[in-house]
Amino acid sequence: MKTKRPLYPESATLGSRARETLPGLLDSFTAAIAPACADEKCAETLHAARITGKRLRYAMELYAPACGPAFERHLDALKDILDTMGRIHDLDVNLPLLRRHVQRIRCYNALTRERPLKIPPAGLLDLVTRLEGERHDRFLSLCRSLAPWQRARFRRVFMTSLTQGDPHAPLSAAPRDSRATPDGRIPRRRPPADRSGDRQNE
Amino acid sequence: MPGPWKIVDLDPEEPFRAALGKVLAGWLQQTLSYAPATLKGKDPQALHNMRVSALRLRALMRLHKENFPARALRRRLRDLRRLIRALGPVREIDVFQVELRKLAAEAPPAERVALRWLMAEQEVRRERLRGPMKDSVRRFQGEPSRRRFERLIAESLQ
Repeated sequence: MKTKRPLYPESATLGSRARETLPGLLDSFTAAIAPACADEKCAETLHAARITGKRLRYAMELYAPACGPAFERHLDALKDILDTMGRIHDLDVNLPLLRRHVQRIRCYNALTRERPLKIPPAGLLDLVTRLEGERHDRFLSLCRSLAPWQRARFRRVFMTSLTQGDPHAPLSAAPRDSRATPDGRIPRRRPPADRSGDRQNE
Repeated sequence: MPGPWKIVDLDPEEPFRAALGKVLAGWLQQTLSYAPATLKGKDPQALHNMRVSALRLRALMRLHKENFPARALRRRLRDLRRLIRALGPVREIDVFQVELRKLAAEAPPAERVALRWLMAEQEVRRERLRGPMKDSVRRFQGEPSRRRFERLIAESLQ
């Protein structure tokens, strides 16, 4: 069986691979959660974010033995986030089925003349309302849980947690920030220059 | 039935390829171990665990695809995709049925009719979907398929 040459050395350990693999997966996840939190009604973006989150979770579980307790805490937080996303996904699948069933019961009742044969839809309507409320609450709770993951410094905190299990691990194994200077520092953003005078001159 | 959450104790200093080989072999075993109960169809948790194990196996194989021969990997991922796609709709019905059963237990008798109608309909749908699902599980569980997976993992991650 012909195998492609791996892109990393044979001596690679779990820890070194974690520092190469996880930043990309984390970036994909954080990129996917921003649109998901922006639109409560859009089930597709939330589902897409959930799938990228699952990839990150499975990879984190593989690398967890090589990382420290802070990493475990990130993993636990991600599991909770994915559980909430999973429940919202279940609701997104079930609610349309329930609404369609309510419509069918109404049609059946409209066609049925004898009162005792009519089916009361009140229970189902209550369920629909309750589940809609639950979806809304869970969405708000999800956005709260995701807020730390969207902060600019979260990536650095996450990367630090990767190296805590291995004190000799170089932080530079992580892909560099594109703004970093040759000595690894990230320059501060300069405040925008005052161009009001320029505009007046135009 | 407990969830398939932790399968091997890995040593952080272990070479990565050996560790990955162990983990993938573990997830394959987990996936296969739930096949008999999934085929029986009495335990929704077994089906869920089988699906989750297969999803994990697929995610890790995809993530570390550079370790495998492209053609063989493509074929095994296709096998996993078929299995996962067959298990998914049945799982969705199982989740919905749990919700409906809970509600039916709490609802007043007059309102149970609407729920029973929906539950019966979902049960029929589930049975219809279980036919192709069982075929997929049997194909995946079969000796040739199992051997192909084991060979791919063993030979690529020695």
